[in-house]
Amino acid sequence: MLSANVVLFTALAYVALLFVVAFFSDRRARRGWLGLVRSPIVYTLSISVYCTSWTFYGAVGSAARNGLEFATIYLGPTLVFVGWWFLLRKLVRIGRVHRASSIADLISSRYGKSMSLAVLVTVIAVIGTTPYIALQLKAVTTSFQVVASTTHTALLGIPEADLDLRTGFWVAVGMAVFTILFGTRNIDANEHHHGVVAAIALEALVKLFALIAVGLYVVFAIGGGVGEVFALPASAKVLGAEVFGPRWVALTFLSATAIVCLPRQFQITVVENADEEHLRTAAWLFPLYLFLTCLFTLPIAITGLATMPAGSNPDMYVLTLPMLHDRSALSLLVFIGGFSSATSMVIVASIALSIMVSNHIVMPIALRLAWLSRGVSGDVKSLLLVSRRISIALILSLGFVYFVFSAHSDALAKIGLIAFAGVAQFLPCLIGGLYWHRASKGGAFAGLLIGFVTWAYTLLLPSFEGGAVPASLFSDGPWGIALLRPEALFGAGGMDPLVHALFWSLSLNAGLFVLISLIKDQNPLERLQSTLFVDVFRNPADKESRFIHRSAAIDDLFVLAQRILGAEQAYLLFRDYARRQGIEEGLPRPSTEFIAQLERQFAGSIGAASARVMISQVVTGETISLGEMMRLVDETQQVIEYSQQLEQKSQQLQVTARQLREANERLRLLDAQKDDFLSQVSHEVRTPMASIRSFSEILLETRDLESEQATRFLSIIHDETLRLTRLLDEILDLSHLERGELAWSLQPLDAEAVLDRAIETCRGMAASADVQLVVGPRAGSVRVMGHEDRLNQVFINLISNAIKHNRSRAPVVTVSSAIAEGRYQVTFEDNGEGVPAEARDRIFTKFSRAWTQSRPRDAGAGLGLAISRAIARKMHGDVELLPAGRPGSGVGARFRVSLPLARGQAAPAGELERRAGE
Amino acid sequence: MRPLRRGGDSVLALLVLGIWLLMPPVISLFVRPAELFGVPVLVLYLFGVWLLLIVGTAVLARRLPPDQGHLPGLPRRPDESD
Repeated sequence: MLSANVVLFTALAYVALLFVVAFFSDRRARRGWLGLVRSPIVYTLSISVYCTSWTFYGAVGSAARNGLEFATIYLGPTLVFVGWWFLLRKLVRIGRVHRASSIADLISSRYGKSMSLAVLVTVIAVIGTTPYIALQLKAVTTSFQVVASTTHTALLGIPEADLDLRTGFWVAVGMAVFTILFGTRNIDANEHHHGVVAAIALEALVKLFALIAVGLYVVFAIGGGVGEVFALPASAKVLGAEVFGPRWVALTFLSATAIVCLPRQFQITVVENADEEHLRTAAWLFPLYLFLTCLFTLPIAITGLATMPAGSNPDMYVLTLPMLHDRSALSLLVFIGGFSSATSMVIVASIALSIMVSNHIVMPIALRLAWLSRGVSGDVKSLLLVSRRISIALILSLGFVYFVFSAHSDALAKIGLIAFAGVAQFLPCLIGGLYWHRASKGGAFAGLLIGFVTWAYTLLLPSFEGGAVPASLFSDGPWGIALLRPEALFGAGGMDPLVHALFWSLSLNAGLFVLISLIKDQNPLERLQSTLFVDVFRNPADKESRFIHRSAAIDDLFVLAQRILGAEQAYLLFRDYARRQGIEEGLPRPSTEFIAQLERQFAGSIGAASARVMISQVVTGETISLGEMMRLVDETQQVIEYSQQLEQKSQQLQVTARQLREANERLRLLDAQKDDFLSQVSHEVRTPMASIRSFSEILLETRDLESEQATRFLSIIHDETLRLTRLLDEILDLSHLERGELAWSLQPLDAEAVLDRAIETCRGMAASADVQLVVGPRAGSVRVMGHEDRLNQVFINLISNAIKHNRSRAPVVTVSSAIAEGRYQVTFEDNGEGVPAEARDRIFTKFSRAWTQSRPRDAGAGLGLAISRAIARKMHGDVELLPAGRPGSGVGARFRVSLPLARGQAAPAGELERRAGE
Repeated sequence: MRPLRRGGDSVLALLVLGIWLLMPPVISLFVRPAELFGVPVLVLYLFGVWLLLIVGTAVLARRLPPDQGHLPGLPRRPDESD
């Protein structure tokens, strides 16, 4: 058991460490050594301010009561970070470009730098956050009393009635001191608090380390292994809870919303972001942090349920489990971990709220009441600093008061989710503002208001049930109107209260937001801001100066800058800008660009709305050029259109290029064929010419030639001449056919009769070549459109080819015909070797003779198939080489002639085929 | 590694996959008494998907192209501001 003094001393020593870390980081940063302080790791760790004591202690409690439901609180943020490219990246960019100092500032800036909107967001944020601060104070108080207690009954948890409020008070005071010291040291132009961020990052490490340490201890020292823990009967009870219903979806959605909308998350993720690239690391590292945080939650909850005495508070298992086993050091570590998680939340939340309160509530009031009329250098700056310090003190006091009043009830336990649902009301106007041009100020304001009221009525009010609120309100509704019962609004009873409240508040909020945005037009400034926000990745912010034309006396601007930024910073800023304008000494010219930059600079300190008001006090003749703005929108549209057109064009170009390539390929092929053709023709002509010449020379030179021999030579010459004539005829024929110069009249004719004639013609040739000519199944009488002699030529050519090229030992040529697919088809089949695979493609080309090249000159010029095909095509038919049969199947080359049937040949194909088979 | 040209699409795909896997009815399919290595399959599934999303995001974040006009670390003092 630890004594209270030891615990207190450790806590104080830890706080002292935080002060030291914050102090030195701040100093380092001020000197420009940002390296370590501003790294992606520190950025990620500081985002884990999301994990408060509600996570540290409460997650196990939640798991013990509702099983896996606790995980939704961490899955939502995980999903948001997985999708960082869409939302967070844009949010961070906008926050940095427009120097947003808080979520209220960002929303107000988007909707035309509206002050009223900023005030409303601030009020909601304060109301939503104060109870949450109270919750942290309570957690620290409870854990302090538990860890420092001397009796074993403390293991059951401290009864609410026995809470020692003094602890809470001193924690609140300590946090206020820390936050004021490091959170309001200066009004930084970028609202960066290096010391705070470093301290928060350290706290993030401490709480994760404590959780993992206790987890390992529970699983391996108490439980005896992972399997053993899950084998406990309590495990089935924890995991048996029915959790995957609407509440699961709603909670995941809610926590996803919270990681974006919670003021402290916005402060850390957007405002304190030092480099956009850090988000790239945080995108996976932060989910990993959450993953590790949750890793041991289930085992601790199960072990706690199984081994802690009955009646123990599950919310304290993380602390009481090591205490039960008398692990003092570990208990102390856990206490410090819980302390870390509570304090980091309190610090960041109060900084974020104090910025909002001072920028959006105090400043407007000061401007309205003319407190600042004196115009002394640095007066605005000091007002801000003082108001922030007071706000921090007030916010923490408010939290403490809330804690005192609710300490003795269990109202605080539920406040975590209630606060989430409260800030979730920012979601519609935030998302709308980021992605929807038309989203307007009126819509945002109305949506926020109705959402907030509905949330307060359906969720916040019921949390006080039994206290100040009469029970009849819940059972009968206000004034007995049952439709308005807070937990069954418009009769929607039977829902989980959280799902119910979330549904009504967000749907009314978003609905009104969209409706009014559609009805109401934006004013010029709103329209400008909406363009700058929605198209932030396309428009640099300094374009703003193109649209707002205004002038001011440079002295007035300088005085204003001194008041807001302080004398030194104002001097540096002006000197720098003057140099950029090429002025070595003196003040810069008050150009429109300079005024715009100055306004952004001020916005980083006092918020966009106040900055605008202060600038307008010294500026004259402000006009927002609508024409320029429309041009901006047009430009954006044009850029989009151009890029789409370009993409289209490039696709078209690709297609065209491909077609050209293909055409070129074909041309090359044709060219090669032409060359081939020429060389083939000369070759074919040359051979007979050679023999004619040599024989005629012999005849001329040899006078005493025997007449018998002379006759033989003459007959050879005659034969060769005939061959030449035939060849030239064929070439002529083919060229006429191909050029389409031959005009035939196609007439209906009996194709079968033509085929019979061709077969008879070839019988003699077959007999002399010892080839068996078989007539297979026939189609019967068929009329086709064609030219009789030409068709006969095709048939003969194919049959003689089959006879000539058949190298089988028992050569067989089979001719069959049929009607299929509405065409007349004749198939010529032999049992030779078939056409070699590599030659199949070119046998229909001129002089191909592909498969006979190595053979003796037993073939014609190789024009037959080309001519046949040309003829068949003239008759709207074709000659094809059918796919080769399997080797050894006895099927060689198979050619098919197909011709369209003559009109009137309408006999059903099936019948004809059947007839053909008979 | 080569940066992805249409990085956003793969991020969106991963996000949609994550939501699909983590929401009912898909997650409800794993509510069953089975165990693997002594751990209930539901627990393994939930934490497995979680880890998958983390790894997927890490891989994609590395390969996504850097932003154009990205604002690096802001200057420390206003005199060095843009």
